[in-house]
Amino acid sequence: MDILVKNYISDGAAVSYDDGYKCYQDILKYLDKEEIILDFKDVNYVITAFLNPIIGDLIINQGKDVMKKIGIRNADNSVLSKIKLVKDGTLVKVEDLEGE
Amino acid sequence: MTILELTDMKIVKIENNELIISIQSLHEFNLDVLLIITSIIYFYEENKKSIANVKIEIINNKSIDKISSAYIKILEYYFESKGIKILMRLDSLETIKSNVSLSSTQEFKNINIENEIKRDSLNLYKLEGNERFTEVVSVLVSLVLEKNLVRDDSKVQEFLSTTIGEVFANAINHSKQETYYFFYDILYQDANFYLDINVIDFGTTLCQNVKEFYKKKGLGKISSTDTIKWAIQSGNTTRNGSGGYGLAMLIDYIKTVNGTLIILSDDAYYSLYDQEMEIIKTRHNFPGTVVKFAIKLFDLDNILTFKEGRVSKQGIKSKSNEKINLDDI
Repeated sequence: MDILVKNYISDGAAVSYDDGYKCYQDILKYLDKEEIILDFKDVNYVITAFLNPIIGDLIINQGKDVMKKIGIRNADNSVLSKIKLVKDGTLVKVEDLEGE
Repeated sequence: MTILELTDMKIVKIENNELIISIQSLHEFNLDVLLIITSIIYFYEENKKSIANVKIEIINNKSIDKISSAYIKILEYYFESKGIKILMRLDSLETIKSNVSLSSTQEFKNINIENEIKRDSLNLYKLEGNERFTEVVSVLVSLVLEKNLVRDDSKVQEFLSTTIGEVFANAINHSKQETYYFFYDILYQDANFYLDINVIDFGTTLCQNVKEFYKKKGLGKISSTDTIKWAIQSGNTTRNGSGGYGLAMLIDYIKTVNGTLIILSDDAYYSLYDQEMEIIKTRHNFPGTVVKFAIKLFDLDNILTFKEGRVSKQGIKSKSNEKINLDDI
């Protein structure tokens, strides 16, 4: 299932947590049925506020194995580096939670 | 007449249903000016049942600096939202009007630093939600890149866009309301030029968010100053889930470029100056959040560069239509 990130934002800028959360809710609808591809085509600017729900909350709520079901397409290095920042931070949090 | 406060800097009294604040001077913006703003709001909120107007008198009004004027203007908008008018002496009013113009972000284009340095006034912008967010951040970042030595332009640009963008995003996302104020100024201090950026909102405060989070998690009470200490740590977020990078990134950047940073929220004041951090409890609460930071321009002693940090997999690129698994990033 291809999810176009640009459909959740305006002017190519992914800056809002609320926008990210809407995308996250749609990811959840299809997650059990098929692989999800997050397509960042025409997304020019991303900050972690937007990525927190679609990457971070997804991993926390669905478990680390969810990462195998999520693909990223058309993301340049800057977007990838932010995805990595959010993913790595979340994995640390998950480890902390598992240790409690 | 009832005198509520009497200090060297100001006198606060209520007379004939007017809250009257007499301020000695506003010739230079500093913590005292922020505390004056905060105390005006406090005394209004404490006595609002008996107040119809707020009157501000600036005793030595020959020189009111631009940034202080901008904060007085923002205070005016705060009271307007409460249905209260701020009254001022005509000469103070004229000075503030000449110092600050309310502008539309549609007019916010490339900053010409030579013109800005010569200007006696600054523009104040009222933003709603994500409106022109990226354009504003892009213009600010362009100025920093143009007026400093930079290696790896695109990476530094991306980093700055994210770091400065997160400040604006927090004003919407964490304040839980859409309206916030922004202005910038070019300062000349100690033989250096600085880009001074101010982002202010009157929404849910940083302290309120963290205290609420602590309460929900059963972590007990936390003081206002400790809320800031908690919030500035990377990975700490009040959301149920991931996040908490914005403030830590900003602080890291400000430290790296030896800039200055102020955060005021409720009764907690954070400052970073000359690499030294200070967090103090203020006497009164600011009903929102102020983030003010200054970055040196024309810094010929340093080169801005971006280090990849924890990227452990080299050469990760995404070409058009090529899919990468989240697990592999």
